[in-house]
Amino acid sequence: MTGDPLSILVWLSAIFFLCGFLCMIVKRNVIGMLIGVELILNAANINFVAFGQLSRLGIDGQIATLFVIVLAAAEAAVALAITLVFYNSHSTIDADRGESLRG
Amino acid sequence: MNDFLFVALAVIAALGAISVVLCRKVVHMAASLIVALSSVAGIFFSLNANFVGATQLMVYVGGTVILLIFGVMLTSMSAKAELKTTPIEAIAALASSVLLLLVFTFTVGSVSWSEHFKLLAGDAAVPKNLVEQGSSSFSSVALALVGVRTDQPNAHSYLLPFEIISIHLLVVLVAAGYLARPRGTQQEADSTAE
Amino acid sequence: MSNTIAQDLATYLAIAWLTPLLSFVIAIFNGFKWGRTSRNAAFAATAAIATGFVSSAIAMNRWICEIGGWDKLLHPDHHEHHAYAGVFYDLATFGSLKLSISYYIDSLTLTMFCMVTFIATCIHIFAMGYMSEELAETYDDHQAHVTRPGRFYRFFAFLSLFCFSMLGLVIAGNIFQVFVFWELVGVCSYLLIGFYTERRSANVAANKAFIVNRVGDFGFIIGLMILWTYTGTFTFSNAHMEGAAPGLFEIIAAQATGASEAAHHVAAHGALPTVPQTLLIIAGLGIFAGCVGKSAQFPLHTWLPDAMEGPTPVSALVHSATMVAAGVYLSARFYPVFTTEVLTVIAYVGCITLFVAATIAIVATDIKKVLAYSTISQLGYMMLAIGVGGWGAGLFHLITHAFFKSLLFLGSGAVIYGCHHEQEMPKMGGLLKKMPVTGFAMAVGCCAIAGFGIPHTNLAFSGFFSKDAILATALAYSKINPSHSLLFLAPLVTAGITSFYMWRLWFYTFTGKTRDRHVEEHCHEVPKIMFIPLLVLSMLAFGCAWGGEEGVLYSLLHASQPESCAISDAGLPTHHHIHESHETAGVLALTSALLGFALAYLLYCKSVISPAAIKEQLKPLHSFLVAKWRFDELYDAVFVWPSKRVGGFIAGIDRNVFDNAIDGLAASAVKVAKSNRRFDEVVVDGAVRASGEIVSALARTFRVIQTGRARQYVLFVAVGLVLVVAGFFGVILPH
Repeated sequence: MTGDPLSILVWLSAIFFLCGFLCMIVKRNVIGMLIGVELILNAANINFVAFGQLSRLGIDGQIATLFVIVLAAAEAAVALAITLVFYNSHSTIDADRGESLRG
Repeated sequence: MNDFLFVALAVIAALGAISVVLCRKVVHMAASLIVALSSVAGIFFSLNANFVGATQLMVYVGGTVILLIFGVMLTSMSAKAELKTTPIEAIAALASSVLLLLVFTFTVGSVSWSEHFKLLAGDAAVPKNLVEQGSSSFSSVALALVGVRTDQPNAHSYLLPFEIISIHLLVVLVAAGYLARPRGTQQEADSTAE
Repeated sequence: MSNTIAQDLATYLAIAWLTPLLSFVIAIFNGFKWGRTSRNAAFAATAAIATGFVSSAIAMNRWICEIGGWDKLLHPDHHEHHAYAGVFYDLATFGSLKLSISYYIDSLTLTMFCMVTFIATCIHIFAMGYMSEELAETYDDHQAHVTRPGRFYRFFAFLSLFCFSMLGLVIAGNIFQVFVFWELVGVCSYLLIGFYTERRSANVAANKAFIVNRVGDFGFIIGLMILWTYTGTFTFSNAHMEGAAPGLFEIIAAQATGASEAAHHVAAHGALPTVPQTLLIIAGLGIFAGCVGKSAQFPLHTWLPDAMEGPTPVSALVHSATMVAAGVYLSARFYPVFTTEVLTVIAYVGCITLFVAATIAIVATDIKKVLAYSTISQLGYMMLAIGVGGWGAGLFHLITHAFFKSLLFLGSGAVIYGCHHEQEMPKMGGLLKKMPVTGFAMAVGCCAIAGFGIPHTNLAFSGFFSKDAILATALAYSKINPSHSLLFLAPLVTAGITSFYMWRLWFYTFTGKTRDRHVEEHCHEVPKIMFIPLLVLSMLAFGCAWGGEEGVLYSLLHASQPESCAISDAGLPTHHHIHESHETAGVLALTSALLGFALAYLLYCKSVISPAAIKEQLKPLHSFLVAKWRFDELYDAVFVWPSKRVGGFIAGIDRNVFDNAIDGLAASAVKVAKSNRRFDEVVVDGAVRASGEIVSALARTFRVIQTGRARQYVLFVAVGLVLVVAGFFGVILPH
């Protein structure tokens, strides 16, 4: 909990991850879960940029972040499409209703 | 001043993220998410990562979140009853997140990051970090993506990953469009095919 | 030139030899397909053996041309061998031991080929009629009281195999090959004697023939081994061919004649091996033991009468004309190897045999048994002739005997066929009216075997000439060796006995009153296919020896007469001696035969003296003869009973000791197996089942956490992550 920016950012990333995780567990709404996923991906992004910019690793961190952002966009698109299909077939977006994979 | 802004943005981002968890309604969650992601974009700017910051604003805040809100609008027409979390789930979630927090405390907290950088700084061969260099990394990132490295001429460029990821994005979007098409259309297509 | 004729002869004789094998293979493999009622097998076999005869005759003609025509044959300038030896095929070489299928062809081989194939052809044709009752899907065997499928094709297949074996024996150029075909002939004999396998008597007779022959073959093997050990070769002779290794005969001859010829051989081939004199005698006796078994000589003669259990054509072909003559043939072939001592033994064995068998034949009532004993007796004559140095005479009798004995057997077969398988002469009688052709043929046969003829003319039956030759040789021999005069007297007396029992047979069967009305009513003349061979054979039985010792047949045989290794001894008569005694012997033999005929005529045709009265007066002698001199009882007591006791004792040991031990072993094996089974069931199966249970239980447990809810999965991932980190930092890293 010192003032140096790197540890602040690492902690911020940890908070984002925990929030995303909680979101995924707690929200029964499928879109809530997706928002959690976005938060977790952003936690990773924060780390990439922080270590890339504040250490001497160069621009690689930024580029990785860019790829993550693009992948997150793609994931969001597909996930939303699945959500729509789920909604169409179950008439709800309650994630607990989709349990046909139960063992 | 810069430090203050930096810390303030970090705090705002953390609060935004926490409010995402705490909000009940999806629209509120989305709004909180916008706040959190925008603050993170600000942090990126302050770290001299202009390109990433801009992309964060445009794609995440401007694209993904809007996409989520579209999803909310498309699916919440008949969902009057709120989807409540059961207490057992809440307790389990809390317990597991506390456990994860302990893990983070153990891992992140046990490392003195500034000490590490000081150790690294003693090595003259290693270039200074980008924040200390002070120059914008915008153009070098952009050029690296299309195959030209200006910062480290001998390093690999990212042209091929860039192309792969772009095609991947295209395929995913087409697939998403196909998945989300209205049911009736498919049946009509099937019947005409027959 | 010499090579080509050898090849020609070998080729012709090989054709004659191998066609019956072909017919056997065809009949055996196609017989079932052709069906029980098909005559194809008989046609194949007959065609094969007839081909063999034609081929043999061509070979004979080729040989006569080679020596310079018939005149040269009848009046040879000097004694010269026209023998040819060679190898068809090398089977294997083991060090110095060379096994090959080879040939040794001289006039004896050729004559035997012609005789065997001709008689076999006649008998095949006869058998087509005789065995026709087998041409049925079901055949009722009245003796064994069973109904079984007919076995027509099998009979002819066996006959073909027999012809193949017999011809292989005759053509063989080495003793090893002789031995192989010798045994093959024995196998055929076994198969044919036991042809009616359902009859116990046939089985016993087949076994007896085989086992008694084994006794002789044992001696044969010993002789064979001695000869091979000392000479290192199986080959008979190199036939005086340049460059060929010397055969047995050359080696023995060189040893007997001494250095002069040996020196010649030494120059060509190095020192020749020699056989110690004692071992040479043992070897000769051993080989003669084989001949004793095969030719049913005393003391191994007991199998031949029992062998009459086979069908009558078999008796005619195998057990009178050809196979039993194989022993005589082999004795003649090995004549050069036999020493004086061996020849004496041969002569006495023949002498005993001819007398013993003839006496038994007097009292036999079964028509085929009479002929069987007469066969033994005649074979004894041949052996005697060889033993007293009458090589040509013995073989002369072999050929003439083959013709008239096959004729007599076929005649008896015709009688048996005509009387519906009645073989007992006391039930026959007066058959001449019903079966004139058969009766006539049998009469010719009886004249031939009795040796009727007019001295000083050619008008005589074949048996006259051959028996005359034998008796002349025997007389000459007994003149030179007065201590062996029994060797002349016994055959002389037996000539009378022979005539007596043969005419007894004829009168019993064909003249007089009907004794059994049932037999008489059903009696009929045999069909054409059966009496044509009879007529052909009766012509030959009369005329095959035309000219006597100046005739073709004797000259043919005489052309290949070998030099005995015992010739240097003064014991054997020379041609001169024999010629001197010819006159006396001929007259004596004829007188003896006529006396026998007259006695038979008086007893059985005119019934001047009642045979029953004589039987009553000489009852002990009669029962002794009926019991066949009690040879079977003697052998039972001396060999069979002790071996059975020893066998029983050993069987007891087997049962009580070995069986118990093996039972114990088996019981312990069962126990071990049972405990193994328990181990299997409890431990192995238990382990398998337990592992299955564990997997299943685990599955049931983990099924609970497969809730299908994505959010819970996320929770599990987090918990898992915490556990991994805690495990890593808390447990693994400290160590």
